[in-house]
Amino acid sequence: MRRAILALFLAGRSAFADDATVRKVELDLPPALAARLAGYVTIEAGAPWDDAAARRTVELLFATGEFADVVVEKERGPTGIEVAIKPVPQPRLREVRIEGDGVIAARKARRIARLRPSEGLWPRRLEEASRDLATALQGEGYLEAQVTASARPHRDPFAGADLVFHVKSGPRARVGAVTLEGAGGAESTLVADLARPHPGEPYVRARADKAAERMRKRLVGTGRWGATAVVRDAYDPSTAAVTLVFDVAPGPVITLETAGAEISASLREDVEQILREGGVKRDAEEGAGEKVEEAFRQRGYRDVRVRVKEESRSGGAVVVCEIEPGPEATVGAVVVEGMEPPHPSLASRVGEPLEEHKIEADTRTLSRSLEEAGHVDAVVEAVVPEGGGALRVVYRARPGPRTMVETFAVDTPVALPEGERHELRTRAGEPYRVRDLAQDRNALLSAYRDFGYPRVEVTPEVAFAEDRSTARVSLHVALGPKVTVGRIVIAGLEHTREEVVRRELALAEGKPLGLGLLVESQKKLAALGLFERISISELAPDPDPQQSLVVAVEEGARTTFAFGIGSSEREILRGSVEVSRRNIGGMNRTFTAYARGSFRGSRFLLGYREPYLFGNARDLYVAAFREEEARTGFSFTRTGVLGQTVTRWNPQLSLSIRYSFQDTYVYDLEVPVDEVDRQYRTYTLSGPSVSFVSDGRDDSLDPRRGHFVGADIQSSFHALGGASFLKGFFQVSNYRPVSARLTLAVSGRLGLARTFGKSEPVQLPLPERFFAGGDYGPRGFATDYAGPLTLGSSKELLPTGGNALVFGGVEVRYAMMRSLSLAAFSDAGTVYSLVSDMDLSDIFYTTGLGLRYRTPVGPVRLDWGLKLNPRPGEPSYRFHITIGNAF
Amino acid sequence: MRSRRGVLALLASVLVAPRPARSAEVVERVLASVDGRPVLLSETKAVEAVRGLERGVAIDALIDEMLMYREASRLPGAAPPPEEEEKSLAELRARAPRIEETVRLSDIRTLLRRQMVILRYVEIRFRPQVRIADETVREAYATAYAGQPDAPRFENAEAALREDLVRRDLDARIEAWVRELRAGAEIRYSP
Repeated sequence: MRRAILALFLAGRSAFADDATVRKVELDLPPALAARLAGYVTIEAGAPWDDAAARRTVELLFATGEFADVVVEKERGPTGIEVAIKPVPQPRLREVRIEGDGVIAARKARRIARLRPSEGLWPRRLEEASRDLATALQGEGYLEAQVTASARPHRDPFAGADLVFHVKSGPRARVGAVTLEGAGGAESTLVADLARPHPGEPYVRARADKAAERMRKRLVGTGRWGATAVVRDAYDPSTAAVTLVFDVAPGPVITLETAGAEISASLREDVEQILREGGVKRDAEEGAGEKVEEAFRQRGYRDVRVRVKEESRSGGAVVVCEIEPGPEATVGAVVVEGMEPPHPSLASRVGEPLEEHKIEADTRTLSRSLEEAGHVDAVVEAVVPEGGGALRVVYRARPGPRTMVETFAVDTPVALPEGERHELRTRAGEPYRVRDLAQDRNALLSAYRDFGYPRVEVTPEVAFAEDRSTARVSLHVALGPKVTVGRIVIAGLEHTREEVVRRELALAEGKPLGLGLLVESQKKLAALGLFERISISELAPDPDPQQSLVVAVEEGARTTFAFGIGSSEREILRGSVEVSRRNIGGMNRTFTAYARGSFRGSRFLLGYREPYLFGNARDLYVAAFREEEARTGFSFTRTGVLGQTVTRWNPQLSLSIRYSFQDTYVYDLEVPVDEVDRQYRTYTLSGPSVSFVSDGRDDSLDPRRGHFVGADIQSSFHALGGASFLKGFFQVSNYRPVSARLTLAVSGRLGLARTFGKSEPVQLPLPERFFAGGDYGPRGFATDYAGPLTLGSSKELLPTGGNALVFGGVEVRYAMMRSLSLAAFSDAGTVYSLVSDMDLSDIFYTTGLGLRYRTPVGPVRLDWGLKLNPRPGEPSYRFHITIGNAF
Repeated sequence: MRSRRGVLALLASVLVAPRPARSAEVVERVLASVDGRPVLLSETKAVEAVRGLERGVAIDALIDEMLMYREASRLPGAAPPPEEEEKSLAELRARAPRIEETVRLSDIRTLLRRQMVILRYVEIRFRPQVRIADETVREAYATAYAGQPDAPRFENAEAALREDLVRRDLDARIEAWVRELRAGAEIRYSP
């Protein structure tokens, strides 16, 4: 039977042709389901009967994942063919129930058996689930547990089925006796207290294993690196008791000795750790030897040999690390022969230890450099004398002929349209490079796949001249069939409406099936945040010119809780909690309740988000909030509502338009009341705002390349019931990798505001003003102090902020290790009371150094900023600890 | 009166008389599924007709073929050139001239294409692994012709014996491959 594929085809028999007209098509489903799935029925009333349409209908309906079978019945009537399509519902999981012994909760059983919402309850899955649950119960001490599972359909078979676990737990085993074997008096005393579970406690195998591991670790900690501890159990069904025996083999106390050469303390620590963790077994000894060899090679001992062996000594054992270092070699000179300068930068440097891996890397670098210049057959070898001392490293290059591209052509039956073309690297008149040709091939493959030719093949052809000085290069494109998208089947939806998925698809029925579009669709679906799994696959594996696709998704939880903890210089520590109800009405609408609190303030917010306003990809967000904050010199409470709509042109560019109405009350004023226009102690903000963002950063938390541009213009008008003012804030940042470890970040900010409706502009209400200084710059200052100050009621100088802000900063970040970076920065900036006061000679300059530790929530940042032009009496420097970059 | 009674009787006989039974024919359904992809009744019927297999055997053959084809079609250049497909179709028509009366041409082409892709994969993946030692061929010769006075000379029988051993080795490898594919797949048979 298995060999059927190799068998010859045999003759067939009867006929299948049938051209009668279809009179009636019935989809035998509940009305709502039938309405949703009617689009997948391709058998048409009034059209001639078509076997292929029947097959396609079954394939499409089956691909929805909702049915175990789809039966198409055909019946000849007096006026034509009547077709009945009878889908058989799949037993999809609804609830999990426990019957029999209630030793486990249904929710826990569901988690243990890894049951996903709506998954098919097929016999094999039921068997797996019951096995998982039985294993878990046995692990909890029900050693005789037996579990079977069955699917119990609901009255409405299209509503799914309950999975029922039938549990016979048997008695829960308890620990009868615990003994310790193998360990002598002292060692026994050392580990006896670790034995778990205690007699009389339920027997949980994982606890016993953990106890054995703790015993081993404790013995290892006393120098018995080869100690072992395992647990054996014996179950007596008549008493439901388990006898536990901990087999402990402490072994001798082991120390590490070196012979032949000394090793550093840190290397000794590493080697001891390898031996300890590996239980001084053969592998661990080899690992330790390799570690020592590597350390010596890095110091220029090319011929180092290390042998690690265990020796018995009186009262213990010793692991001896015998080191034969050989001669120490350094790089005396680096010579490149056979290649015209300039040469690429090499890893081997004069005066540094001579290391084989660096020499190999240099050989590769030089070969690649020659290949880049068109020397296809270039060979580079390194010649280094044996022995030690300052050695001359010679790289001998045999470049061979230099090949230039004489002609380059792409031989294709269908040229790509203008927008799909990629610039190719290979060009006539330029050196011939294999790497470029390979990249060009890949670029063409991707472009044609995106253009609907998934089975395209691109073959390079290179014809060299006899002396290999020139080459005629071509890329031959064999397109294969052009594939367009047939039907798109959406599978796996529980609460989400189908249109929510369809509107995110970059692929469209009847359009080319491009690989890029497929990936984009997948990304957009993932960005919704509604699904835990997403896959887009072809319905049939055969290369048909029209491929139907199945978009299969698995919905995630609809109610989510998020907790946050953060820190900033002003707030020190803040915590937040957010509860969201997602996918309201199946339309990806979200309701959010958010609360944040710190020692300096609080914020409560209720928000509602509609991602598709009036059927367009435009976000609407409405929120009501109340916040309270204690700032330097004043405090305020603010209550308000806002409505915002965001249009995203692409993942980088977005425009938001907002209307805010908020009442603010300013209190605890320490700054003189003169600093605050009296009418602004309690004020209303009412007016529209607009924000534009272009975010091209590679990582929004810790960018290495890209840009960020933000512009925000906020207004409030007396005619709308608020104070009259206009406020703009603009920000530009750019990030560029200077080398593999070095990143340059530059940023500029400008804030401008003015009031209206008075004889002359005055300062904005205090909470609306711009402030500068602190961990976001300039960093030589305390928070808000880079700007005008005034003597407060407590006789301290307090910041008053102002209507204008300028800031510029540059920062160089050097990645010392994977997570640790060093930074040097310079910031300049200040705040002016009024725009008319702006004078660049008033700007404050600071410089400083910092450390960054990379975490998943952004870098933890420690900065030390030094003022370059401090005001008299001010401290000249400031430390900042916070999370996130300054820009 | 009599005539009216006669008409009523005729009407009654027409209404009461049993009508010829109209039976619905199942033309398509899902007989099994492999990792969520259906094995259809029409496909199975095509395999039954083209290869002369029973229903149950045809379903399993289709399942195996789907699994093998899924892996084989990932091979770069897996699709056979059109001329090879046409040649294969012509050979089939020569062997079974009336096959298109039974099976749709598109189904025949699909079956042929799948088979060619799988065979090509088998050639590339398994054929190079087959090594038949000279000793093995000698053993096979000894087993096949032991005690036969008219046995051919070893040199004359060697090629055929070697070919047979290669074929058996390939078959064993394909069987193992299919077992592995089946073990990793979720296969469901419809009741």
